[in-house]
Amino acid sequence: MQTFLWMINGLRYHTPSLSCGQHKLYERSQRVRMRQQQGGFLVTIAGVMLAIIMFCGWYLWDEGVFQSEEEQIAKLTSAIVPNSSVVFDRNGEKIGEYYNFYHVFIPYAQIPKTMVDALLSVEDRKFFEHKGVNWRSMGRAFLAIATSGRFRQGGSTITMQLVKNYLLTREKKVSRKLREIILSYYVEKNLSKERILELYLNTMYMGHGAYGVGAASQTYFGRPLDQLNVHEFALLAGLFQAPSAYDPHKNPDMAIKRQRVVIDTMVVSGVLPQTDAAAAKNRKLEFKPWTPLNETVAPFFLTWVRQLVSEKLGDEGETINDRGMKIYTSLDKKLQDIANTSMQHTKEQLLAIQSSLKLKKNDRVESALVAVDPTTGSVLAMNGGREFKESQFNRAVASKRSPGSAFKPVVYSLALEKNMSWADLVFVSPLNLGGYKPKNHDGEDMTEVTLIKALARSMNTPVVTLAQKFGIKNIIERAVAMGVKSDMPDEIGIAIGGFSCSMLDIARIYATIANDGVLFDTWAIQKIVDRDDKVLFDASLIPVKANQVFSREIAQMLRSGLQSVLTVGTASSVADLAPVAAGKTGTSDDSRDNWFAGFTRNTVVVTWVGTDGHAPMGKAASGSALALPQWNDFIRQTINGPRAAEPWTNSEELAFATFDPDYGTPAEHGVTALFRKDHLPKASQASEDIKTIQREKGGSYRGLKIDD
Amino acid sequence: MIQSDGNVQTINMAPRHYMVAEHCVDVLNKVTPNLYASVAPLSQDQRDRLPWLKRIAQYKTTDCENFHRRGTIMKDFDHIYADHDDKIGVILPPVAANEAALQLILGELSAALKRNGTLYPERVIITRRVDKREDASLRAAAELIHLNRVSLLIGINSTQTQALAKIADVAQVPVFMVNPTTPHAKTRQTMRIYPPIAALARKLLDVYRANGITHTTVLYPRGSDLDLLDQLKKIGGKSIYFMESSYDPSSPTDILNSTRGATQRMAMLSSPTQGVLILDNFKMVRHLVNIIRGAAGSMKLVLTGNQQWRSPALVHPREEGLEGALFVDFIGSYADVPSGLAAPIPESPFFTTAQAASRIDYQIIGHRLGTLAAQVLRSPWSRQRIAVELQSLTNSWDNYFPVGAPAFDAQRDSSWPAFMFKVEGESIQLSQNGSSP
Repeated sequence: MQTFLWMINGLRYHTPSLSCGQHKLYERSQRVRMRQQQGGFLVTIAGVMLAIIMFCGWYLWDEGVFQSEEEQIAKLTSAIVPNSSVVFDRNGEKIGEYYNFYHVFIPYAQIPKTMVDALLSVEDRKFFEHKGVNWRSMGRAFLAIATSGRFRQGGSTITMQLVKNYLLTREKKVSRKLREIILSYYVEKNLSKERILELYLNTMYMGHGAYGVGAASQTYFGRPLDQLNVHEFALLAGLFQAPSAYDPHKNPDMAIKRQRVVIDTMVVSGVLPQTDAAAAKNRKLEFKPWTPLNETVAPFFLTWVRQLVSEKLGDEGETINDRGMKIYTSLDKKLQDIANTSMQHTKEQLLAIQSSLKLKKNDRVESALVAVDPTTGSVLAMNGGREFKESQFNRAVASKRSPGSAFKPVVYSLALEKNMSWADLVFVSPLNLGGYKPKNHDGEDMTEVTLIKALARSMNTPVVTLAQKFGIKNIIERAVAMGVKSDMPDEIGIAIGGFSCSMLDIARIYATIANDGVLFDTWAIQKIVDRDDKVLFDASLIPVKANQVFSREIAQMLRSGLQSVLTVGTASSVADLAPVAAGKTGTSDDSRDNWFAGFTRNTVVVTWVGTDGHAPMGKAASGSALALPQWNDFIRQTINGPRAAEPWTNSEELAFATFDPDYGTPAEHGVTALFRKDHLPKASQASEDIKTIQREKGGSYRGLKIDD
Repeated sequence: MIQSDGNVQTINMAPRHYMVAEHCVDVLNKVTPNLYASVAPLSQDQRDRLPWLKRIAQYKTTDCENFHRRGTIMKDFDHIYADHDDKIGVILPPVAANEAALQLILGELSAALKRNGTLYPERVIITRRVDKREDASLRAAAELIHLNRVSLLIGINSTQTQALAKIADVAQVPVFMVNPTTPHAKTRQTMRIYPPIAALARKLLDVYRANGITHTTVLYPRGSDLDLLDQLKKIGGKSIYFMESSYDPSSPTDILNSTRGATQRMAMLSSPTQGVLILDNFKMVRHLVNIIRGAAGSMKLVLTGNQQWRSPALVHPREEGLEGALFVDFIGSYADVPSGLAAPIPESPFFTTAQAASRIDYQIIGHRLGTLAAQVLRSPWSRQRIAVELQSLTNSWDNYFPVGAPAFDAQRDSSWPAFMFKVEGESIQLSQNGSSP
């Protein structure tokens, strides 16, 4: 360039001094020379320009600007907008979503016009007029860049932004911009304006993990998009430019400032009257604190449902995220909400206990709850731990713990089936079975007791004595029939819960009792449909498996016995619930596991408290001290709220009888339970079949006491 | 003839003495006060119904000098002390602490009388339910003696039996005491009809001696009767020392602490082998054995017990710590209990059903009472001779009480068989000696 200027200047200022004739001749020759020189210069220029063009062409070719568009465009034309798979409760209420990136797909036709207007006003006012590129905007952007030297203004149309986000990288290079322009042109040729908007509004990142306006609406306002108002649409429209910078949770002032800009542009665009704009600016934005639904309603249940969906759909289940499936479940959100509040109500107690224990690092006191409808087997509520955010391990399903005495009803069902009654006496001496020495929780092991007292007071040795009589094999068979799916060792200790099982195992045991001896396997998924409403799974099409484990009479007698646990037993702190509820405490060795399993006619609830590290919980800990409070809190709210307790039914072959819990003899003020009509309590309750012992009131056995 | 037995004067009036004036004087001087004492509990109305009482009040010692007068005096006294109407008086509390047991005894008493020839036992047995206070019992006894003219009295409650022992002394009436604790009357009129606590004690002492045991720890529930321990101490003398440890049977903690403490005290002694006597039922025995085993370490202990151990549940399921343990009982094979008691034998003859075991314990007392009473009713013995004659009586009518053996021992306790059992696995076996395994 400097050489060129020197040549021009040389011609103008370095002319030598000559005569007139010479001068004219000289000028002519100079003009000829100049013409000759100018022609060479133009050739040179042309050559240089050609070289530049060739270089740019080579460069753009190398950068892929001129690559085949068909393949790229196909990504957009055949794009399926990701959509979260949604989980519903039994009443059709949404309780969770499965996604990798949070999407809530909304077809263009269902996107409110105001949303579109707000977006177009601030991002691409000429969207419906241009062919993918708005050259005037581009020019303005170029000038802004040229004057400031910085990328302050994009100038990209919505189509270009879509192309950039969907098909290209976010690098700021000329080649990428050219490619964006070219592809935008082709996109406009292949897709309708509405489809482009649909893709744009549903796929652009909106901050906080939300993609698209549907997800953003839920994320920021906790409401579906069609329930928003203009001031809220304006806020969402403002987010497209810089979702992080205008994040209403992080930078509310910036977000509101941006919202006002959008409202102003809507006025300028003529889509919003000035008066409405003023009103919109004055309306307060109420942001919902961002807590993903998955973590608030039933997070543990959702993890279980995901696992079940995978099992039911095979490999398809693994890609459950973002597939837009609709999964209808058995959960009752109202009960789940109660479960969540129960967990909160008992949290303080658990924290207090935790602070009193010396736990290993990362170990903590946990609790879990599961509620089941015994008449169908459907899982109604589930909490697999105290705080999902802190520990995602689902103890309601995946944890295998010792059930302790909560297992005993299995043994008692066999006893009742062997024609024993609640008034029969059983032996309570300490046992030593080849080194295995079962102990009673409160040391009560020196007398014989009635069956009902042994159950109500949760005595171990009578149950082991009964188990010896019945045989371990029969107990395992009965447990399996009552729904225990966990492995059980061939050891006598199982009779008092000396093995590991899940909370669902225990729930099934009690569901069998509550449902008059009929077991329905527990289930959680009612129906799965894909995004096109094609049914992938429908539980109603599968024949229901109902297993009559034992007669309704046995179940009802067992239930009446479990009611006594609430009236005179280890759960007497909730004695007022006994008319409508029954249950059993369970405490494993050193109170490492603390259970309460109880039920009304239509709801079975199992609660557990312990630590993942199996830490001893202290001498004061027990099922009644730790697990019962949560059960109590849950069941009271349930029966006083969404799921009132139904009345018990009693077989005509049974009759209530009141008897002395110590001696099994009829008594006016004693324990009331159901008996077979031909096996009511008698003055003498000894049963030869089971080696029971007649106890004399006021004197020890063969004590030769007469009157002193 | 007047016999002196300590401070109490007793008489033995036989017809041959009627003609002796000195004897008549002695009777008037020494027996009359006892007679007055025996009628003292009666009301005035009741005393007025006794014509001989007025006559005796008018007798003077000078009357003994007159042969005929002396004969009248002696006949009156003979009527009072020798005659009886073949009735049995039973003094009972209004309601016994274990009324069911009492009924079992009375029922079997009646049944045994019937089996032994008494057609209407209900007419023979006169039962008086009176307050346990001594005066009430004395009055009832006086009525039975003087108004009903019973042949013998039976008492069960210890307070009442003590009152009967008193009146037995002054009224010369035989009394069957159905409890292990009431001291015998000094006039030898009292006889004890009760399972043989002393014999059981001797059996246990044999065990301790056979094993060279000089120290035995005795565990028992607080408030329980310690008749066996008393007998052990009495018979064992200074040859063996008993260390007692009691516990509150309703407090598991107390049971645990007391038993552990007793076991630790045992460990402090230098005796290589020590005895443990548990005077509690089979349920508690299993419990205590586990505690003792846990605290005893390598000590060699000989576990012993009483009849309260006897139950299938002692050995079902097998309790390792009880292997070789010994206990004494007054019932051997249930196949040999007296006829009529009907002991069911579901498994081993050493066990019966729970209800039968408890029942037979009491029925066998009633049976013993009934069979002895039947002997009295059948005999021509005068009332004051009954006790003497009974002491020379031998068993001849039953397979449970050894035939030919004296019915009463020298201490006037009815003789009963005593057995020793050894725990072997899931059963018990009769043991001939007391050596430890």
